[in-house]
Amino acid sequence: MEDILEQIQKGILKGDTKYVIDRTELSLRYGISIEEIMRDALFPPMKLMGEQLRTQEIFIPEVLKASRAMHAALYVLRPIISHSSTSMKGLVVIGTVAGDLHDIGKNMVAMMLTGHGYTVVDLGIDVTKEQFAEAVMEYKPNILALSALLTTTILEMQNVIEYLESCGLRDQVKITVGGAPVTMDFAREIGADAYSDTVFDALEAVDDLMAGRMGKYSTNTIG
Amino acid sequence: MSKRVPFTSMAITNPDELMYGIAPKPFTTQSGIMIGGGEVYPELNFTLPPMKVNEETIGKANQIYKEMIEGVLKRAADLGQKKVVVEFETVPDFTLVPKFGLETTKLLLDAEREAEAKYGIQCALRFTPNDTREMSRPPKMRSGQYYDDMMYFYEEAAKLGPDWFSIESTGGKEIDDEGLVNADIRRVIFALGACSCTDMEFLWGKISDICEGSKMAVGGDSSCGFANTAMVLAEKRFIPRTFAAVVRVATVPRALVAYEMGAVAPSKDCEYVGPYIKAITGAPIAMEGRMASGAHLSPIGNIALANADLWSNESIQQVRLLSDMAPVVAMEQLIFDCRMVNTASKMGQSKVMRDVLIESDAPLDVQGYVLKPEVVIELSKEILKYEDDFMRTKVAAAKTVELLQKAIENGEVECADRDAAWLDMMEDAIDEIPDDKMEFFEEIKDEIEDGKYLPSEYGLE
Repeated sequence: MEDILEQIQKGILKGDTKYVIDRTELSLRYGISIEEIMRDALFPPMKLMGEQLRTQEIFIPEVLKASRAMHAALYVLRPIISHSSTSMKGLVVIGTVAGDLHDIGKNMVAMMLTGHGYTVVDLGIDVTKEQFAEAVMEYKPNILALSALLTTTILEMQNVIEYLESCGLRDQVKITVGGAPVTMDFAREIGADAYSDTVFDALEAVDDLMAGRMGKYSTNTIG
Repeated sequence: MSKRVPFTSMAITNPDELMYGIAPKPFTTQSGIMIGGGEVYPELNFTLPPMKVNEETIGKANQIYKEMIEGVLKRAADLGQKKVVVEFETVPDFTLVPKFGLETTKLLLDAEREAEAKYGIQCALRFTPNDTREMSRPPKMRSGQYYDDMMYFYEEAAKLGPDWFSIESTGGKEIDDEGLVNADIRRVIFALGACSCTDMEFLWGKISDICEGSKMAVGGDSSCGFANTAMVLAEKRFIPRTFAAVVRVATVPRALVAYEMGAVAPSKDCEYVGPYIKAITGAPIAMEGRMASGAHLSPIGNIALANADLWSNESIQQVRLLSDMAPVVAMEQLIFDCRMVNTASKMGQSKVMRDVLIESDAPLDVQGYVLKPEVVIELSKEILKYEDDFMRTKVAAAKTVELLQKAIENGEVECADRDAAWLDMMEDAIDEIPDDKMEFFEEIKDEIEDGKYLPSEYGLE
């Protein structure tokens, strides 16, 4: 008989939300720990799909469908997660800076991060420095991810970082930046901790920041 | 108040007559440039390097605009290019703070008049402000501070006298974005056919009213945030290319609304369905392709020129390259392309030139295939069978799917299996969409997140 965790994996890969919920509930009734469900059923298919997306074997809509199925399983687990020591990989607050309405790239980064085990708080678009600071205070994220697509708005990233410094919040969070006009030099100049060019790189950049590693997306400012 | 006059017949029915440089209804600028009258002219667009625009920096921004326009017009004159169009496509700050945008518009117009006097060239200015209504979420399309400021900017700019008005309007985009990343054709058809077209009719009615009595003519809209976003996502292999091709044609009815509300001037460069507009309306079109690579990549760099009346670079920042500043470089590149196709025409080789441009792209990508003249004519006829925007959009998508399935099967266009498979999925999804917009709205409304949009802004409630 097929292992129930494998069934969940297959359900996620197919994006079959109902089936994934059913199998997740059943696995809990079988007494499988939530750590095991998350580690062996929920995260592996998302990791696989991330790799398949990078190698152009699948498209984003397929990943999104799978991601929705995985989140449905997490929803089943949520009441138990809150009563256990199990947590996601880390908390990321993400948003597009003030004056900028572009959200597709930011949404895809958020999707990749959630699919790989991060909890993501998406502040949306046109987010002011004050709103970013409030979110850092409220959610206490490990990572703050800033996005901008316009040449006239990327400097707002600097304003956000300076504002966090003035509020005494800068040291509480690692900051990664991205968006078409953003460069590594720019990221260094404004004091960000990491910069990434693509959706996939953004995930790696966040992984590195979480691990305190000097990865290739690091601006070499992490201590 | 402008009244909509629907197109029911085609301006061009013979694919061979869909030709670069020639439009059945040419447009003449204030300086006497006849666009669509036989030649292709360069249309240069530029933008600021990374910088904030505010009270402190507006002086610097204007200095950069002055350098850009003087540089590109001088290069045009140096190369003997006698007729030039410049597009002022504003950054959002110029629309949000109209006095900034108006100052720059005047500066650019003055620079064009000076260049005309100095070099003996003819210049024109396309004015393309932003649609800032989407800055309120959910977007308020017909009232509010953003709407009021935007309309004030348009009205005041019209008095300054740019040649014509374009915009990349955003009605329905708040719904379409999710449709694109999920490759959800139902949602895209709803966004385009039920929301975007309705907003186009409203917005372009207002724009036509503003332009009436001014020197500024009414130009075309662009589905940039819809179809070009799809194309860019497809280039990154995030969504299927077949999906991007179907979305492209599904934006035709939306683009058509501007012309049904009174547009006569050249369509916007990034409105890649320009050939459909020309075939249906007879208006001249601006296109962008290989010279727009500095702004975004595309698989249709050559075929885009095959029917162009204005040839554009999309946009380029004022940054220094080895030879000169980037806008100057772009102007030179555009001029050489225009020279080449215009010379082919003079040599009686325009058909050959056009077909080279078409055949060097169309067989390689479905997004190029849907721009082939015979495909444009066939699909345009299907769209014009209906006057209802929603049905036009649905039919545009359905017929494109059908046509691409056949083309791929016949080996007329390359398409990876994984991309082709989405055509069948789209076919199934479109088949289930009812013909009535309101019936579809009732069906789909629960699928769209609360607070994402205001149905009343699109006349749906």
